[in-house]
Amino acid sequence: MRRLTAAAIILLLLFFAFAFREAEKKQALAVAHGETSSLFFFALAAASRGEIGSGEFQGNPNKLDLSLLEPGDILLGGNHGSSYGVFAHAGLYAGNNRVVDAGTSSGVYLAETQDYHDYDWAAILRVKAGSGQKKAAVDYALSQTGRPFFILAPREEDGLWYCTKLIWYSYLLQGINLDSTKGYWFLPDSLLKSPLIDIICYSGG
Amino acid sequence: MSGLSFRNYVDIRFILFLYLLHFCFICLTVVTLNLLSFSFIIWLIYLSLLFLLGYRLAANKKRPLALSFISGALGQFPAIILSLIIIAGIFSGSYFRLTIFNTYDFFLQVWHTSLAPVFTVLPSSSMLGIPLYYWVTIAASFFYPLVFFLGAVFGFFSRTKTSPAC
Repeated sequence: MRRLTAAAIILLLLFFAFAFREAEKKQALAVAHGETSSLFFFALAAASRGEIGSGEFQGNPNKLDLSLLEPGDILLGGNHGSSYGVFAHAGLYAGNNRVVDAGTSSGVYLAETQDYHDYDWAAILRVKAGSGQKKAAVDYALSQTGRPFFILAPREEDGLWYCTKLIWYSYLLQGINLDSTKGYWFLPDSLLKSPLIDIICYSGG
Repeated sequence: MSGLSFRNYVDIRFILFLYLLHFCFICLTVVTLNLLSFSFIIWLIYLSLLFLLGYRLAANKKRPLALSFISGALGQFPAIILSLIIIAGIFSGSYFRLTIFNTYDFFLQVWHTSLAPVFTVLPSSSMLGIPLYYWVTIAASFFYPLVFFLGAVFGFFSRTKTSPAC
C-alpha cells in the first residue's frame, strides 16, 4: 500500500513537472507572437516559477501621467510576479483623484489615483463611450462602495465583486460590453483585448 | 496509558475526510453562486453536516471528547493558521503595510468560499478599517470547529445517557 502511494505521488509530481514545462513553452510562444496566453497557461507558468498572487511591487514607482485621467477611465496596475496577467489590478476613475477600487479585505472602496504609482507598471485606458454613459457607469460603481469582494464571484451575480468585474458590470449596465474573452473571470489583461477601449498612457516596466 | 496515544486523539483518515468535504462544498458553492439563495442553503447544509459529523464521532466511538475538539480544529487548520497570522498583522499594524497579507487574504477567502452567499446579506460596516464581511471570513476559521465541537458535545451526552458506563 505504501509503495502504491509513493508511486502515485511520484507520478503526480512528474505530471506537474511536465504540465509546468508545457505551460512555460506555451507562455514563451505567446509572448514571442505578441499575444496574451490563456489564464490557465499563464497561471501554471507563473506557479512553476513560484509566483502566486498579484506580484510584488519592486519599490520604483511608475511615472504614469495622472493628469490625463477623465471620469470613466480605467486605471491598470501590474507588478513583477503576478500569476494571472501582466496587469494584476484595475480601478475606475471617478474624478477628483478618486478611483473606485476593490480588494479582498477592503471590499469596494474609494482609493486615491496616486496609489497607482505604487505599481511596477501602470496604464490608463479610455472606454469608447459617451460622457453620459461614463457618468452612469461611475455612479453605479460608486453605489457599490462598501460591498464585498469575492474573487470567485460569477459574472451574473451583482452582490459580489472583484476589481475588473465591477468595471465590466458598470459599463455593461450602460449597454457597453468590454468583454471579448467570455471566460469565467474578467481579468485586467482582458480589458486590453476589448475593441471598445483605447490605451491612453503607459508607464513603467 | 496506551489508550491515550496520538492515534486515539487524531484520526487522520477522518480529518482527510473533513478536508474532502470542505473542498466539495467549495466547488458546490462556486457552481451554485448564480443562485444565491440556493448557495445559502448549501452553506447551511455544510454547517449541519459538520454538526452531525461531530455528533456521530462523539456518539459512536468510545473516544474522549477532546478528540472531537482536535479533529474539528485540524479540519480547519490551514484557515486557523492564516486567520491567526492576519489577526496578528491587523493588531500589530503590519497588515496594512506588507503586501504579503494580500496573498493570505486571498487564500483565506478561497478557503471560505462557502461563506460567499452570507457576505451578500451582511451590512456594509467596518471595524479597525476591515469590512464586516472580512471579519466574518476570519471568524469562520474558528466558528466551523466550534460547530463541529458543539455537535460532539451533544453526541457525547447522548452517549452517556444511553450508556453511563462509557
